[in-house]
Formats: sequence, structure tokens, C-alpha cells
Amino acid sequence: MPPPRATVDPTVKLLARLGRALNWLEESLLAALLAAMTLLTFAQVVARYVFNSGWVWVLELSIFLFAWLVLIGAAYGVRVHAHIGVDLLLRVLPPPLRKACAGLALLLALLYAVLLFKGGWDTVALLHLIQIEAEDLPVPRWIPTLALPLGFALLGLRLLEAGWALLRGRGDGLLLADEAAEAVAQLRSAEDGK
Amino acid sequence: MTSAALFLMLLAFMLIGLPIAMALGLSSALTLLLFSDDSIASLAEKVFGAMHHSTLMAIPFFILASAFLTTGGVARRMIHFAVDLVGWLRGGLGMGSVVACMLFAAVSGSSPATVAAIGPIVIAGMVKQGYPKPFAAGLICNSGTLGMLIPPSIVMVVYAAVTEVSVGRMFMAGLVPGLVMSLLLMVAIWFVARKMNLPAQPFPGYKDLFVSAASASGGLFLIVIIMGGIYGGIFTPTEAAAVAAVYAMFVAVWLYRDLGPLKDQVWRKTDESLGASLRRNAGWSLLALFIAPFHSDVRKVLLEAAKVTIMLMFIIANAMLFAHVLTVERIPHAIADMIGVLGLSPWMFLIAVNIILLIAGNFMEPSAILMIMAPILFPTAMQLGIDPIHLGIIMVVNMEIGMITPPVGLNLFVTSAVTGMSLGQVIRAALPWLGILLVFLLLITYVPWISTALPNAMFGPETVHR
Repeated sequence: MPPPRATVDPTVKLLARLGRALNWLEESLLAALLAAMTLLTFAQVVARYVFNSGWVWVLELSIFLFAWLVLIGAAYGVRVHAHIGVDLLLRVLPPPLRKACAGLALLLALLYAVLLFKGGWDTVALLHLIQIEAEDLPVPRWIPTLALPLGFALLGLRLLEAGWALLRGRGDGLLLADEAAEAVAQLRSAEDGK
Repeated sequence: MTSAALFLMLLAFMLIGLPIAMALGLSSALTLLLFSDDSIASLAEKVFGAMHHSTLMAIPFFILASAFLTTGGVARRMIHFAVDLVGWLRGGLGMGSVVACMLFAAVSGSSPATVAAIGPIVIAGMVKQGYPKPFAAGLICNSGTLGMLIPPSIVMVVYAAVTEVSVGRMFMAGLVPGLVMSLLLMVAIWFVARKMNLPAQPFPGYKDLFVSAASASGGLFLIVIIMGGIYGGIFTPTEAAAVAAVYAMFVAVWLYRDLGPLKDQVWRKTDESLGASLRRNAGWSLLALFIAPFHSDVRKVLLEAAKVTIMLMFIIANAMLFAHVLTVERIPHAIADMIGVLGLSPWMFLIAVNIILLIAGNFMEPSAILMIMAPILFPTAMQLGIDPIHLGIIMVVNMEIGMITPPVGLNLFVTSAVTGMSLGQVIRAALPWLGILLVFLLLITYVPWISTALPNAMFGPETVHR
């Protein structure tokens, strides 16, 4: 009798696929934000010299795109381990202590995300209450500022995800980037390019 | 008391493995909540406000430009040109590596990126020619720091944004020190090469030199756009950075065809007539104009640049919070007063600055240090009559040294990764070169002319607002 194949629950499969789709969406959004702010600024220069004109709202719009890129991206940074830090102490600790440190760091990071989410929420609420407009764009100020609560909420979710992985014993649970591994990966991709 | 709590929290958070950005942000947030009546909303607003600095917006653009050119074969072209240029001297391959780092630094604003791009190729080359591996690794680890000093430079943009000096001036000011440092390294190589009897390359001939120069010029033109554009008043530094990013994509996708839809389309096939080649290229170029933005290679470069931008700007935004708390606590004033009471002369003050920055550079990310230390040191330096540009270059050179000293020397990590040597071996290998960098730091600190002559000649003397 053949061994029973490990059956994967279709819901789990669907969720995994949904997760991958969301990741792809997140990455595309970030790439698009960076591309948009670059092209906007470039277009402004072209407009000034070639068409002798320009738009007053370009600077403000690219500033908002920049803010969205960084704030929404902070959560992405947690997922791909982009945030750098000091792992000097962690590397010499015995594994159980190391895990405890990782857990504590996660809790502190979560506290950070919650505090800043609350701050961002209050900021948006206040701006919504007084209804001031952005300087050059015809939108109320609170709309671009939504990046704050949204970004820190996403950051909190990614941290919870990392905490779950740590509890399940997957990965080392550290939040930090591994610069060395990254440089090697970069090297690989550069070699593929040859 | 409050600031002691702030620094202790920062240190503790960082040691248990909280990323630098969050350690900075959380320690500032907790300090403000515990010791002052600032609302938490004002903190969040500060983080949002970091991106309101239009000067800082140059950072993602420079990162993007560098990402396009790092993925491409630009590094190989520059190494080729550099070795053709100085390779015929004794220890030529080593000198060529320094020049290659210098050239690459001119298209990239960061030093780990320079090590990662130039290092693997030249270290392997040097080892093949009989150079000891630690010699090669230590050399590249150090010359990579030129990435910070030679414009465009991300830390210079940060310094300019914090102290409100002009980015163009800072960039100009970095050129001469960058050349001086390269010369120092090359002289050292020459002496070592004579002692160890290292080989020289044959001179390739003027024709080959010209060909390799032309091949590298596509990438090198980037610095002409940036410096020329800023100096000529054609665009602001931020606009120059955006133009550089678009130009870099043009070079990588169309001119060099290292990535993107034209990757497999050579400029001219063997035995293809000129007319046929022109027609084929015109057609493909037109097509590329529309499909390149959606090509997976381009998306990958954009995402990589976005990732680096996010990491760096998240640190900078949180460092701004930290600097804000320090200002609320009136630390810069306290330090200025203390210097006044001690009656420190400018040269003693600069020694103190160097010592503080060298220590800080061991533990922190360079942009974060500038964000925190520049507001503290700047007012005092102005009181003592130190040129703001000169102070900026001193800070940048200190940050360079921080990149090659443990525990948080990014260049060390990258060098260890690209050579396969252990971190300890790399640290030992980089040590002798560190001596040269320290001599260079002294030179920069006490000969302000090296930093200020070029910007003053081009833009007129600096007007200082005290």
C-alpha cells in the first residue's frame, strides 16, 4: 500500500496563495511608488526646460509618495529582514537566551508599532476634525497622512507574524538583517547577470 | 537624567536585537512620554515630517541610480578602464582596484555597495597574480569607503539636510579629499609592492586605453550630470538625483543592455550591415521604451532600491525623533556652554569631535549618527569659527572609518561575505590600512584647505549664519 500522501487542507492552500498574492501586491506598490516619485521629479525638470512650464503640486505630491513608500515599506522591511541592527551580543548568547532576547525584542518592536500607530491615528483624527487642505494639492491633509496609521498597523501585523514564527520555532526569530548573507545574494544575482 | 535614560534605553534596545530604527524611535517615544508632556501624536507627525525634507528626497533617487548601475556590468567596465590606466605601475592591479573603487564611488553613494560591486572581481584577480589574499581584502575593504567621500554621497545629503548647508558645496568639497585619499592608498601600495615584489601589468597601448575609457564613460557621465547640473544651476540636487536615476536606467537598459528587454540584442551582430543594425536597433529601442518599465529586471531593481531606501529612511526618520528629544532637553546648548566654560580652542574641539565620532561610528549607522550628532556639534563649531563644510567633511571621514571598524562596520561584513574569509581575518586584514585612514583623518582635520578650497573657488566663500 502506498504511503498516504500528506493532504494539504484546501483552505490552507488558498490562504498561502492569498498571502503570496498580497506579498506581490505589496512589492509592486513599493516599486511603483519609487518609480512614480522619480518620474514626477524628472518630468518637472523636463517641463521646465523643454516646455518652459511646470506644476506647483509636483513637489508636494512626490513628498507624499515618498512618505507612503517609507511608512508602508517599513512592514515590508520586517518581512524581508531589511532593518539593520547590532547582533554582537546575540551571536555569543546560548540558543535559549538568544531566543528569549529575540522574543523581548519582538515585544518591544510591537510596543513601538502600537505607540506610533496611536500617534498616527490621533494625527489623522485631528486633521480630519479641522479639515485643512494640503498646501498645493486639492485634497484634505488627513488623506495623505493616513500613511502613518496604515503603515504602523501593517508593521504591527508583520511583527505578530514574526512572533508566531518564533513561537512555532521557525527561523531564528531575529528581526535583523544579515548583511553578509545579503552581500552574497547580491553577488549571485550580479553573476547571473553576466 | 532624562538624556541618560534616553541613551541607556537606546543602548539596551540595540543590544537585545531591536533594529536600529525602532530602537531610536522607541527610546525617544518612551522618554517623551515619561518625562515631558509632548503628545504621542506630535511624535508620529515628526516621523511623517522626515519625508518633508525635499533635500532628503535625493536619497532614494541616488539609491535607485546606483541600483541600476550595480546590477549592470558597469563595475566590470570601470575595473577594466582603471587597470588599463594605472596597471602598468608596480603593484598595478592593487592601484587599479583603488581607482576602480574611486570611479564606482562616483556613481554610487554608499561604501558597502562599492565593496560588493568591485571587491569580488578585483580580489580574485589580485590573488591570481600572487597578491596575498588578506592584502587584497583589506585594501578593498578600505578603498570601498571612498563611496561616502566622492559625490554623490548619501551621508553628505543627510549632513546638508540637517545643517542646511548646500548639498552642491558638500559634494564639491568631497572631490579633493577623495583624490588625496586614493593617492595615499596608492603610494602605500607602491611601497608594499616593491617590498613584496608584486607584478606590474603590461601597458595596454593608447588605443586600448581609449576604448576602455569610452566603454566606462557611459557610467561615468552620471557624475558629470550631477556635478555639472548642480554647479551650473540647471537643477537642484534633488532634481539632479532624479535625472541621474533616469539616466542610469537608460544606460543599464539601452546603452549597456545589462538588464531588461534588450539584454539579448547586441548593438551589432557579426556580419550585419550598418543599415540593418540601425533599423533593428531603432525598432527594438522603440519597443523597449514601452515595455522596459514593466520588465521583471527593472521591477527587481526598483524593489531592491525601494528596500534600501526604506531601511535607510526609516532609520533617518527615527533618528530625527531622537534628535528632537535631545533638542527638547537642550543638550546642544549644554554642550556648547560646557565647551565655552572649558575654553576649548578649535583644534582641541576637533580632537574631541573625532574621538566622539570614532566611538559612535563603531556602534551606529552613519546616517543616524549624522542626524543625531550634527545638530549637537554644529552650533559649537560655528561659535568656534569652524567652516561648516569642513566640519561636514570631517564627519564624513569619521563615518568612513566607522565602516571598517568592528562591531558595526558594514564594509567588514561585506568583505567577509565576498571573500569567504572570517570576520576576524578581515578585521586583521583591514587593520594596516586603517592606519592610513587615520593619518588621512588628521590631514583632513587640520588642513581645512583640502576640503574648502574647491567649493570656495567655485561657489564663492561660504556665508555662515551664526
